[in-house]
Amino acid sequence: MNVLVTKNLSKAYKGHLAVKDVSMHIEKGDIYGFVGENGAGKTTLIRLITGLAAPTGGSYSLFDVPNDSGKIYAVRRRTGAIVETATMSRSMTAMENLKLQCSITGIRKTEDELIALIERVGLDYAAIQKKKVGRFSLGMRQRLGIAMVMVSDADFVILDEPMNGLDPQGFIEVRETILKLNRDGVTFLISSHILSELEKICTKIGVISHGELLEEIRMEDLHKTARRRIVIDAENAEAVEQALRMDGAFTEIGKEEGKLTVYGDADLNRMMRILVEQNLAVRSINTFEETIEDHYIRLLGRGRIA
Amino acid sequence: MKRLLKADFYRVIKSRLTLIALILAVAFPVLIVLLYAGIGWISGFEEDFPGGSLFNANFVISSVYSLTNNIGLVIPAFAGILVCLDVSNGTLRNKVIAGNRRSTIYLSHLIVSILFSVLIITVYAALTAVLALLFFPFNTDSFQNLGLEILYFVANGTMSFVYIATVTTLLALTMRNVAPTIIFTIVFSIALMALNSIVMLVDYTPYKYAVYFIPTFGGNFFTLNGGGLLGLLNPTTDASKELIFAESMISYLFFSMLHTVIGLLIFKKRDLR
Repeated sequence: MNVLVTKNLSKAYKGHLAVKDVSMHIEKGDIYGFVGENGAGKTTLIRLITGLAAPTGGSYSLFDVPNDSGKIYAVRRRTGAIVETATMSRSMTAMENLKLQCSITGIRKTEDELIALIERVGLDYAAIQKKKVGRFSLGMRQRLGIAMVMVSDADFVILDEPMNGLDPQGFIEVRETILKLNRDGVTFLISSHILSELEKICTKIGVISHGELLEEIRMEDLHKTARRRIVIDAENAEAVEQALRMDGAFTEIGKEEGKLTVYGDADLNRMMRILVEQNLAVRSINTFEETIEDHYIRLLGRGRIA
Repeated sequence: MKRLLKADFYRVIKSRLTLIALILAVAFPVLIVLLYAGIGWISGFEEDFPGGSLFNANFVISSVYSLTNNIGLVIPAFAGILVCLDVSNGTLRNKVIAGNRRSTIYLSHLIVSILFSVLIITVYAALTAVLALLFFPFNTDSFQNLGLEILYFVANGTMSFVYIATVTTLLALTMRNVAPTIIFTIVFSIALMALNSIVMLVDYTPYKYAVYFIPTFGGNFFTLNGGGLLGLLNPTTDASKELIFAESMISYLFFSMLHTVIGLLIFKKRDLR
């Protein structure tokens, strides 16, 4: 079942195209990681999908309901979102904000259920019971924001940089919460610049740059096509590089901070044999599987990221 | 609409601004009536003053619905802040994300702003009237039908705040910023009252027609100032009070609807931050 499908979705602001012809596809049960540099168009795209802004081109459908249909309002009730920052009344307590969110979404929850929700996102209800949200730390507000999204029992949750302001423990709690909800059938669209965190939870990623969706790939496909890299810390890096290049089997060799990196499915045994035969001293050899970050850097090019 | 109204009322009830507005609605009448009583007592003006006592209850009560008097400025400013806080806190975004139509969000804010304004002005007006009647005499000589005239006065005065609430909601949801909303609402109220006064001061003004174009102008015919010195400033017309009242109400409704339609059109088209 399709949860979100966009077709050539575009948004222009005063002649500047913030989102260009984006066509993406999220299926039920996906945890879709949205990756891109600052200003790439991630938040703009999320704002279009959540109805906060109107597209200037293209279309999208939520749960197979087109955005120009009158039924879109009904299916929006099945979505929850945090866009940029968690939004809540700072002069109210966490409980009051959750009650307000219940009214907005038309969901009935008992106070005990709301307390359970507060504790589920890692907030200590007894400690924050009387505290106004304005006195919360950024991380606490972020967690409460997730609780507010969860109030509506949404089938599709959009989180824009959910890890912002969280400590390592907070990272783990939010990650576990996302995975647990996903097991319960909730589909996620998560934009984040913390690629290592996305790698741990995503089933699919979309890479966006300068408003364009460069690639959309399932994690299993990414792993299938992932390139291995071998990092060699040698006493004489130049000599090692020359020996490997002379062999002809190792063509993609890079050098960074004095260490050599050999890309591709290189034959490690063959490499070792060459180094031994030519008596080249090596301090260490490590192999790495390609991560989302490596893939992202390769896709965009190191220069563009820098 | 029902759930949004519930949410907006919850927000307003929980807001400290509502409590402050209610405190002011109680404090202002006490201060004003005591001030008038003090001035009357110090100046020694009593019943022998031409046209009656300088500060009779009619005079004190007549100004309760003024848009440029103390609470008259506080109400639209506070109503504007309450709407703007929904925008600045981002809770307005939550409403859109949760699948509420923009028109429903706008109308819910409008209804809550109107009810907030009506509640505060009613508390203020009622308390002022009670205190004024306790401290000053009420002149009934010039009234043909006192009950009806009071009804016109209250209905017309309350409508002026309903009308200003439509302006406040329009400004708050299109400007989405507290400071300009308050400034423009107050400037609008002052400009409206100034226009009222200018039209009143122009000789041979066909007052009847001014009601059509300045919604607050009808209030000049229902001031309860009868018999007092200031009552002489009331405009006169051959038209019956019933007709002027009906025209004034139509004018209020027309301009209120006009502002609401303009506000809805802008709000529906705007991208939200």
